[in-house]
Amino acid sequence: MDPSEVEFLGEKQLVSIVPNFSFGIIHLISGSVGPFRAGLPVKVPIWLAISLKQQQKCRIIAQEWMDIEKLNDSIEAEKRSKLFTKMPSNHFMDEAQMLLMVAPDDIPDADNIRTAVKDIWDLRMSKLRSSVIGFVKNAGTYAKLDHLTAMEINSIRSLLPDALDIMLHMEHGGKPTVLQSLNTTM
Amino acid sequence: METKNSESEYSTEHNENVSHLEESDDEMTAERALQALENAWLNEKFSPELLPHQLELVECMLEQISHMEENLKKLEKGDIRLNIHTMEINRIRFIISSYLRKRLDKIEEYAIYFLSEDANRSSEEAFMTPAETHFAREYVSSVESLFTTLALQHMPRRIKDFELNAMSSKPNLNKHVFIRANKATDGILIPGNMNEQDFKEDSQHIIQYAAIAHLVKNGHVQLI
Amino acid sequence: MSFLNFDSYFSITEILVTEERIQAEFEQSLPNLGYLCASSKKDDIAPKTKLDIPLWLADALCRRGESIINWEIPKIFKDSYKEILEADACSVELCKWNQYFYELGLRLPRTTTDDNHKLAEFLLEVFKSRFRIIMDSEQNPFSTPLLRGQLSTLEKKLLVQGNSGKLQLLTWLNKGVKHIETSDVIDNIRKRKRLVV
Repeated sequence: MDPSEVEFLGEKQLVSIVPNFSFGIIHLISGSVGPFRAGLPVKVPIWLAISLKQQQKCRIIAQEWMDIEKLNDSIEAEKRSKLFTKMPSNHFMDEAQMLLMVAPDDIPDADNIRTAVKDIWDLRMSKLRSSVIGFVKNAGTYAKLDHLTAMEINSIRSLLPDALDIMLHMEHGGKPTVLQSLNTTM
Repeated sequence: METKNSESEYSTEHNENVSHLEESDDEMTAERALQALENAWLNEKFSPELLPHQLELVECMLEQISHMEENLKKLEKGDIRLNIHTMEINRIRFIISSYLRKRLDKIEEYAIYFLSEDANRSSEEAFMTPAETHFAREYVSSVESLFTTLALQHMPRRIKDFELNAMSSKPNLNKHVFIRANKATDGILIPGNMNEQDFKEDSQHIIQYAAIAHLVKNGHVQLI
Repeated sequence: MSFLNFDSYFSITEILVTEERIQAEFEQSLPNLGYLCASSKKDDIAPKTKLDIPLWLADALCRRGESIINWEIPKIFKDSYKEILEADACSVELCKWNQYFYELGLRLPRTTTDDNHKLAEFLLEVFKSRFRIIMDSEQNPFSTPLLRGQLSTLEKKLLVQGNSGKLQLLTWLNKGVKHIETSDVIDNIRKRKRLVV
């Protein structure tokens, strides 16, 4: 799947904004948002926040985890742990990308946050790389993927599943694999 | 399926002006239907086989969209809602078209196989919608006439038949997929080593599709 | 897309792999088929004639109850070659041995199930040890053509797919933002590109 589709899913996450207009509740198909009161924070999906920001109708409030101390703690934890640590959001990377891109002026310390997010991402990507290599070496067929975020899972989609399929095929001695009946489960 | 009811409820509701949509029960239903459609989209995107169709969900969402569009016409230019609702409609349209297109891709690839599978099911249980079935039949017959015109008619009689069954390929159900458990589920048999594995709620895994195909269909796991 | 899907009627790989020739010795005389053997002027193929025949034919001849041919395992799957791979699988230019190395090994006619199984197991080991090359070059989506020569068709396909995923990710990461871009990766690519040029 294209990373922009992962981002599309991430755009559903909520973020607080401070609108500069007032309006009642807006009934979206995906749920209601508002009421909007000028100067008072309100939670909206990121796609809406971005649109309002681009129309200069609001200010975006940084997600709680977009805090340089918290992020530095995460970097340390990620370095110390052999396993993946839990991220504050399943769309950690895409949320950071989107919000920092559209509202760098609203987010305090945006440049440092960007760097810290990038550091965490790099640490985790290199961890992910070694786990994939290890997994293939042990001819795994099943693994838990706890704490991996959506964008990280998507990053191994183009290589790992197919590599495992190839290995499975070889394990079966090249025989066409037996199809299980599709009908029994419905 | 709950969406059947919501359809009729919505048609009355949306006859009113957009700003008066206030019955929270109905809202929940639309929201749930949209979430269900999004789940179906991702499942379809990542599963090797064709999943049972979700025609009711698709129709429900399309109806929602057209009602919304009707209502938007009543809004004045410059109304803040105009932009917001249009954006949301476009997001939902994207999901619907991506979902339907993914199904057509699979149907083209495995048309013969899916047709023969659906032939063993009653029309209520068929995995393809009537329109998809029609598309699959047309597709197979187009391929057949193409082959006949281009090549088969020039072949010796013994091999000039269009061999439907030889050409039928099947999806690889042993494909590895990424999943998230919606519900705690115990005793998933891992193919190959025959170990059992328990899924905790919200846990994520990579596993062969065949091991969890039934759990995708009953909603216990979500492909991601 | 399935990489090792031999069941598919339209699999080009299947057709190409089964065109590979293996050495066969005929056990029986085959009347009027002498023309298959270019060097012989006789009408029939005599018993004990050795001939390179395509895999699809060998396969069909082996499937019959009575044995018509004895086939020889291609040299790349013999012990001397296996030893080279066992010593250092990653340095072998597999493409030069046979571009369909894995597919051919998996597609050989059935002899004893045990033998086929052992070969498949061996191929699995080779694939596993060479997977690292793919992972390493997947890091760099603009990998050099040099490396691709080292890989078999199967590995190449996997790498191409991995690369395109990686490229999408890099494009996304670099979208619009000046500061967050993975400048070191891009720089490395430029450096390497310059080296190649």
